[in-house]
Amino acid sequence: MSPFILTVLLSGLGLGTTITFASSHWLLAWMGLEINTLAILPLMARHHHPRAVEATTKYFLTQATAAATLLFASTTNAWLTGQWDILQMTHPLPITLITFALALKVGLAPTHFWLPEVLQGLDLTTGLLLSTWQKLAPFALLLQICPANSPLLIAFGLASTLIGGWGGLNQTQLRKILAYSSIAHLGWMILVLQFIPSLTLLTLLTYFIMTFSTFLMFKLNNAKNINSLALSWTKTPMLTALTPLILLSLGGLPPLTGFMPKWLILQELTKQGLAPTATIAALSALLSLFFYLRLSYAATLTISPNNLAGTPAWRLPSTQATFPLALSTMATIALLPLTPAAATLLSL
Amino acid sequence: MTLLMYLLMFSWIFALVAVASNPSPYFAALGLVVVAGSGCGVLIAHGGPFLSLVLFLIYLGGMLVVFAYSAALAAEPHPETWGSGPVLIYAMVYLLGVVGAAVLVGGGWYETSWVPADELSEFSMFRGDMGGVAFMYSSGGGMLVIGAWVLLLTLFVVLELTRGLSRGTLRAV
Repeated sequence: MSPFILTVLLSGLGLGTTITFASSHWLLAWMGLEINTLAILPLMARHHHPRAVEATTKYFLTQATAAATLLFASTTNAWLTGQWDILQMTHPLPITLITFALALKVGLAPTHFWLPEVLQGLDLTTGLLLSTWQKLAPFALLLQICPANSPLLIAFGLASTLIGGWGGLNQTQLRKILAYSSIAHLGWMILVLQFIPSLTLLTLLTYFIMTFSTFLMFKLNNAKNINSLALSWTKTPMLTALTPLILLSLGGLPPLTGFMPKWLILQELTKQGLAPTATIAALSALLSLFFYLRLSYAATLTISPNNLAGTPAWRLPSTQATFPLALSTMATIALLPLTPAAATLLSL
Repeated sequence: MTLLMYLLMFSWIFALVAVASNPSPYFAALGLVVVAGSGCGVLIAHGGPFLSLVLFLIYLGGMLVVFAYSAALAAEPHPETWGSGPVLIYAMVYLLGVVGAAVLVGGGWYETSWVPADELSEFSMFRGDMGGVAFMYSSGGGMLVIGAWVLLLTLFVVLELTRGLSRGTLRAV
């Protein structure tokens, strides 16, 4: 893609998120979301492959529906309360409608069906962009609307963690596994939204770091499915040694960073008297942990001196910059001791 | 005047049903013309003539005309009109829905009127619809710039998505 058009599109992505972050008016927030959707479409379809075009079309249709629902909810709010301020929402109907719209935008269950298919049709870099950057703007809005209807958010959260866990169990394609992992993490974020919103932000940022490492690690090894992941030790043995730690951090295992949000969320849920909810969430994390463990097994426990899984690839010099991956891998593995600092710094 | 309002609002609803019942794009565009036209009439009666003018000029005269030309490029010998099978069924179901909604909410006065004009200090007047546009060019300058930039972005996005003729993105499907 021409560097000029690439610059325009990436700056459009930045502009959209910035506008949504900076807005206190619903119309401006909606504009930011639409700019994000618009700018990422050519990025998704840039390889001109039918599967990528299919993913682009599905993404566009779902995001447009979500944005239209958001606009409808904002105008309903303007009609019912007479003002457009995001922080001043009081009527429950627009709040619920906006929660549904943002859930569809972000990929929470039960509006998650588009995410695995869309992510599967994209290359790993664009998939990373979709999983991380495109979640920032909707969450900025979710954090501001202070949704107070407890059963709806808990239902979204538990459905997402369960479906994220169960759905990922039958997958061999890594991008679909990452999609279901995304759904599960979004579920955890939503569970704690109405109690401590800063924990939602903490979970979001931790998820960003972990999934950044995972996507870049898959990209460096050119691994799209479990079979090619099993050959990554021939290409980058050092990174393969760290791969289980990255994946288990995604699974939320202590003493890795991924444990931090789950720990704090379970603590808060218990303090709020929602012990069954906390139990179900913790048990559903076991489902996700199983497929992360399966990936770790395929990457590390099938190596020499076992039988060779396939023909090892030529070890040619890679053109991918490894510094970002190195940084995020260390952050994914070793940031748990910073829990008090993180929880304090992010207090909204 | 009441009769005119009734005519406009009924034609608005029936044309919406005509659009939603999924006929061929030519007939759907015709339905859209009636929707926009009667909607403009309702707007005028409620105090927004400028809005109605802009809708006619830009929506009908700009966007719908471009759509009509694009649809004409995809001409088909037997377009589906409202008499043919599935379209007729859709139209009947939607009409039933309209009648049901009318029975449910009919009979009450739900109409609110916009403020057509506001009197400001020292003989200056603020016209409801026109004033909003004037605001966009004065205090809302940032919004104007963002709007213009987004339009340019949309152009680039569409050009990038449709680039390449038969080798490009859309044709590959």
